[in-house]
Amino acid sequence: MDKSTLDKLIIVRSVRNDENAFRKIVEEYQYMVYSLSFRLLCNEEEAKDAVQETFIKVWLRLHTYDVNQKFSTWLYAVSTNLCIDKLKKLKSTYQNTAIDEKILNLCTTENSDQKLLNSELGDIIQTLTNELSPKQKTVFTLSYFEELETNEISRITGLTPEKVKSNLYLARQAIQKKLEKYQI
Amino acid sequence: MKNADEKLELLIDNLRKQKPELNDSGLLTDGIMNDIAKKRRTNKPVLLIWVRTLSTAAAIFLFALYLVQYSSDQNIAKTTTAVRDFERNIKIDSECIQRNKNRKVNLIKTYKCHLRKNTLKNKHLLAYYQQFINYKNENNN
Repeated sequence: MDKSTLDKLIIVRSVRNDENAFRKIVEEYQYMVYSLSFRLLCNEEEAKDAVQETFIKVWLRLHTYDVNQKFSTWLYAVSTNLCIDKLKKLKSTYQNTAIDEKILNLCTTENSDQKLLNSELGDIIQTLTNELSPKQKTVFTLSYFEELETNEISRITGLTPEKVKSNLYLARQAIQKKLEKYQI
Repeated sequence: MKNADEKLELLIDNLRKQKPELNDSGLLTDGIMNDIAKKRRTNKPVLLIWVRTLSTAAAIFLFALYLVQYSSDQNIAKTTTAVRDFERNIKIDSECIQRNKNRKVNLIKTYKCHLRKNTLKNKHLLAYYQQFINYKNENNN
């Protein structure tokens, strides 16, 4: 039995209120949701809250999931919408000069293996993306960090592939301008 | 000096490699499962939704029917009262007519009786008068 068939079987059992089956879904996908939430919200606690809220939403709406669709795409969509709502509320005005050095280090290949703490990673992503709109930030994260295809991003966000590409271009331009400030 | 595009690609690549750590994943799973246990899924069967919709519609229809029936009953009651009043008036009128009629009949009866008495009196008077004439004639002869 391949993975997608097994996933569908677990999902069907979860729809029938089987909490043990749903636990397997949570265990399997919670890191994926956490990673996306963390990169969008740039805060460990906020990301954990988002993971919790995402899975509660998934549990309540699992009967609306179309089994012919890829489960991870549907899960990404639920999580992304939740994070976009949170981003709109947060409206961060974060600015930290201590993080500039870390960004400079990341722009050199020699330091690529250096492991960053969650707080440092969150601060770096926040510094680079705080001027992006929630939509641009989402598209940028899904494309560059989660390495998803344009069509899948389009299905997740509900944007047309053209709009995904334009948002991605604008996000990239904005980050590039930001890097120029660091005189890289 | 690398160009800006390459630098950005390198930065993104390095950031992608930096995976956020999730230390207490078991705790997070337990938290999610506890929340789920608290929240009952409202997965209503389609049949139940239909039954609920139909029963609501039926209840509304019956209530509307009751209102219509009630208002028409009120009208009937009003009409009935009016008819009853009318009938009572007719009854009173007919009683009055009957009484008048009776009175007239009585008057006729009294008059007839009076006439009968007068006829008898006239007959007696006529008989006396005849006797008087006869007596007078006998005396003259």
